[in-house]
Amino acid sequence: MKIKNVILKGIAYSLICMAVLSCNEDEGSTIGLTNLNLVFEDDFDGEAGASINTEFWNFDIGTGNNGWGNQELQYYTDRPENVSLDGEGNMVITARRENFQGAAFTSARINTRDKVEQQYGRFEARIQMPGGRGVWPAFWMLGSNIETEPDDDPATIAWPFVGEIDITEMRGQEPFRTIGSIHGPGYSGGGAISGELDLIDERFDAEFHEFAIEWSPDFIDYFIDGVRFNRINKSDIPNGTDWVFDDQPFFMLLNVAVGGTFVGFPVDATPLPQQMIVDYVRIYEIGN
Amino acid sequence: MNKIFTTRKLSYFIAALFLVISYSCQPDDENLPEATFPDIAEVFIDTFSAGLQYAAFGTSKVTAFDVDTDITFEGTAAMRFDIPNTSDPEGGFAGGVFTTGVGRNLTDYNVLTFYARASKGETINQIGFGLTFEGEVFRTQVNGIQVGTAWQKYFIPIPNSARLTQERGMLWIAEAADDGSSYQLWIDEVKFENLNTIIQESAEILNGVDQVTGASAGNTITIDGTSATYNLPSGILQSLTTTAAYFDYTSSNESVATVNEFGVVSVLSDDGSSVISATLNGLDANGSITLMDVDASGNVDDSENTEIMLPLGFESATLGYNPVEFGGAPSAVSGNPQVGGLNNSGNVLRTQKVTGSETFAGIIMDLDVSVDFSESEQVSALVFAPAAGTTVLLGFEDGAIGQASQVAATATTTVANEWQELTFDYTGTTNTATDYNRLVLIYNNGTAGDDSVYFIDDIQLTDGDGGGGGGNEGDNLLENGDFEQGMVTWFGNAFNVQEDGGNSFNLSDNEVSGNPFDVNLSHPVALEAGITYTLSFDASTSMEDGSRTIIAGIGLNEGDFASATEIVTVTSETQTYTLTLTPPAGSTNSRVLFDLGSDGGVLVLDNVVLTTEETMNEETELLTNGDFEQGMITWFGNAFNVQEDGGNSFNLSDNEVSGNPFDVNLSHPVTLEAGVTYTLSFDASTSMEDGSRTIIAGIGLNEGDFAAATEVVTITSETQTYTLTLTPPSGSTNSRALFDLGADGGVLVLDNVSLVQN
Repeated sequence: MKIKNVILKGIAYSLICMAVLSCNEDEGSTIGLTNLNLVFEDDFDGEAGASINTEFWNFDIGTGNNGWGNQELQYYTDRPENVSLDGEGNMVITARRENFQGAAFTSARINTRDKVEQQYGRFEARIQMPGGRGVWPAFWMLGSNIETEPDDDPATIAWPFVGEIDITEMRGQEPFRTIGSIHGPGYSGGGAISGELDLIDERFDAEFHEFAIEWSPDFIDYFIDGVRFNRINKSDIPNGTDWVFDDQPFFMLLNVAVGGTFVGFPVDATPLPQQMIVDYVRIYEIGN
Repeated sequence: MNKIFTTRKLSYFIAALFLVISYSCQPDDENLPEATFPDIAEVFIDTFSAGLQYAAFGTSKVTAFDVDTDITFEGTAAMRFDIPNTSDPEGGFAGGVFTTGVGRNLTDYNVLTFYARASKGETINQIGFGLTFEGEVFRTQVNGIQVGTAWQKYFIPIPNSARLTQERGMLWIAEAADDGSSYQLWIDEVKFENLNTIIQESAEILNGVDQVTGASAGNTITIDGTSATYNLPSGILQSLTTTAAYFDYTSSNESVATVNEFGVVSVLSDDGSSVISATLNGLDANGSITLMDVDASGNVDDSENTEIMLPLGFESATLGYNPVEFGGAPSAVSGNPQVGGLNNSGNVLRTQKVTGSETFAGIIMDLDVSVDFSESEQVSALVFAPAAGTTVLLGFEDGAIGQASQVAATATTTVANEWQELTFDYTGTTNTATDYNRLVLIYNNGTAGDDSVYFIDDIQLTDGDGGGGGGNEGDNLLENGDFEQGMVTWFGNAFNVQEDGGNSFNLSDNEVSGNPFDVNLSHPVALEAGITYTLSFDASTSMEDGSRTIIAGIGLNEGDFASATEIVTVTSETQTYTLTLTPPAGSTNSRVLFDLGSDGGVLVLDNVVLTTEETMNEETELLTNGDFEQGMITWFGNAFNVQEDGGNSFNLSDNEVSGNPFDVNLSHPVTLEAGVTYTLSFDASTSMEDGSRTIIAGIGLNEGDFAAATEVVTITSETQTYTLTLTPPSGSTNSRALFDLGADGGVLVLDNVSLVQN
């Protein structure tokens, strides 16, 4: 997930990264950080149709700038049709094919900025993903002092300098594949450092899976259902670029985009509506 | 390239033939238990799998299939079809069936997969499995698969694997080139698989429509319109046409009707109701048939119903009929105030319009099943009111939209304190896209209540006469009452025929004049004095004008112009107006007249029909939906595609040339008698691009040897009425009017199909 429109580049480069990453030791192990303390949890309990807890979450509304930087087609709303609790302990983001405020699709994007932010630790969510050609769901994080509008405030930092950690994102036409990436200056957009996990004869949009990262001062580990499938070390970023994940807390985002440069565009045969069903979101801190 | 291939193709074809022969000559393995069928998954990997045979469709280019060892997806060989030019004298398409002599047990698989590519981007007309020359009980097909020049994997899901315990039809294909010019299609790695990544999204019987029908013991109803939609591993939806035999059927009341495994409903009893529904792999299919019971006394008995729907008799002890009053009209189901006569049933709906109520006080009541106006746009109801002259407004609307979606009609009682049947006519006002799931009822709309109590019961669709006046050409005394013939026959300064979407009508816009007849429109007709005529027409004015009056009637077109007329108020909503008129004088020089000068504004006029009692039954129309105005019902066949435009429904198809003329077809069931002469007439046209095309039209059996009397008709881009005189060689109650389109390609617009006995 990137938030600025960046020219795709370095496909070969990312392939090389993949090759390197696949040589990581401990891949497939369930061993992660052991000294974790639960510090935040949203189980999304509540009545069907109720809104999410705004003590934790903010809504992003509208189409952003150039489709949130990616030529996305959806209009994000805070309507229960697009984001609400299901009464069974889940939060549901629903992407719909409907004309709304000039957009052909609606969906939702929520974030915990200024409400729930954390540096280092384990960030996890149990999600049944949406699917369908041109549908682009993500569970991801951004540095808390991101500059959302151009300004001269030295306290805010523009993307990609602020850092982005994608715990999972998917292309709906590849419902078997989760992609976990980090973006920073010199390794953003198409050049992000990524790892993928492909399910064998299963689909992420057919059942729940737990997506998690463990972010420490030394590396970022990626887990599916408790199994580590990738580790990104500080040494994995390009020579001469900065590791921007030691400077500040990050906040979380959950969204379902429709269309855009990363995923391509939906077609008539794209099954819609599509739902991202989130059972829980949790944050653990690393204890002493 | 092609020339080289010609030689090689011949040798391969011989080889393929040899394969067929050698496989089919293999003796059965005597060690196998007799009732065990192999569960072989492979159909074609690098060669024909065990027992596989190919046979081309007789009318296709039979040499089109070959085995290619140069271009393969994997391994040493692929299947190749040399799709011929559609003008190829040896056959304009390629296709056939791959079958095994011994059935295979496919219950462990859920999808047939293969890879395909083509020498140019193409759309494959039909591909599937489950078809053999001996039967197609479990036929499936996907229509319109897109194939490009790169290999790509394709999926044909098995709708219900449990059914395929001994299936012989492994693969079938029928393909004609999109643009008529030949190309090559390769298919490789054909096999059955069991994939978790195929998600069944939905299933349909009866094209997803909830049908309601009267139950008649002895009738059978064949469930068709069966299909399923799958979410493929690539995250896109794909529809699959299936046979009805894949579905599991349920009758909610097996004493009323049963359904067999092939989806044939047998109605056993007229006493009670039953809902026929289906599941596919445990998923509820959209679409159902409700067999309704009208009890012996003629009153509606909905006591066994599980949903609130028409016919509505208020007899159920379990359904929560919930009349919600507005403006001061408390209502509830209550006992029949006067059992006997027209109404022998126990329960009715009681409404009291209380003193001081709003003038518009009434009720709304939600229905579980929307009213289906496709077969009839008239509703009848029994009403019991304390005074003659009580107006009853009965409307239907989509509860989610409200009044904007409402159709309403008003009828007036003529007796006091007696049950009376009233008819509410919605002809021309209903919209097939609207869910009429709420009933609206107002007594004496416009008058405040006086504590009077009213009762209503037996609210039901009438048998219907097709609605939309002008449907019965033989009855109409007017040659061009529907203006479809354009600027002919009619006269007068308001004569201005417009056409929209294939429907012609008259459009005028006038100022108020000195005399009403200063602005006029007339159609010549012969009238006889003293005979009663019925004049009906569809009319509306513009939204801006809101409403206007016109004078409509019939009379002399000479002498003193004596006439019988009525003033009619036309609104911005198109309605059918029906006048009963008796002209004071008769003459062959008479006319139907519309005088517009007494009021100003737009007038849209269409479907003017003048009938008399005498002409009503001259010729009996044998087709119930010949004009397609009832929508997607009655007709059948793969060319069935009703479109609506400007209030007129018609059938629109666009086909490629097929192997058999009957591969693309459209039929309407009818009963025929052998040796009797019939007249089949229809309006037809093709597109400007296609210029002209031929079709085969006729009548014949829908069973047995399908004996038929047909003619080849050349259709042009100009809509014309074609009339054929036909004598069928055989007769049966299972016969049909038929249109076979496959012998030629192109668009066909078909409307106003009529069949009468001479």
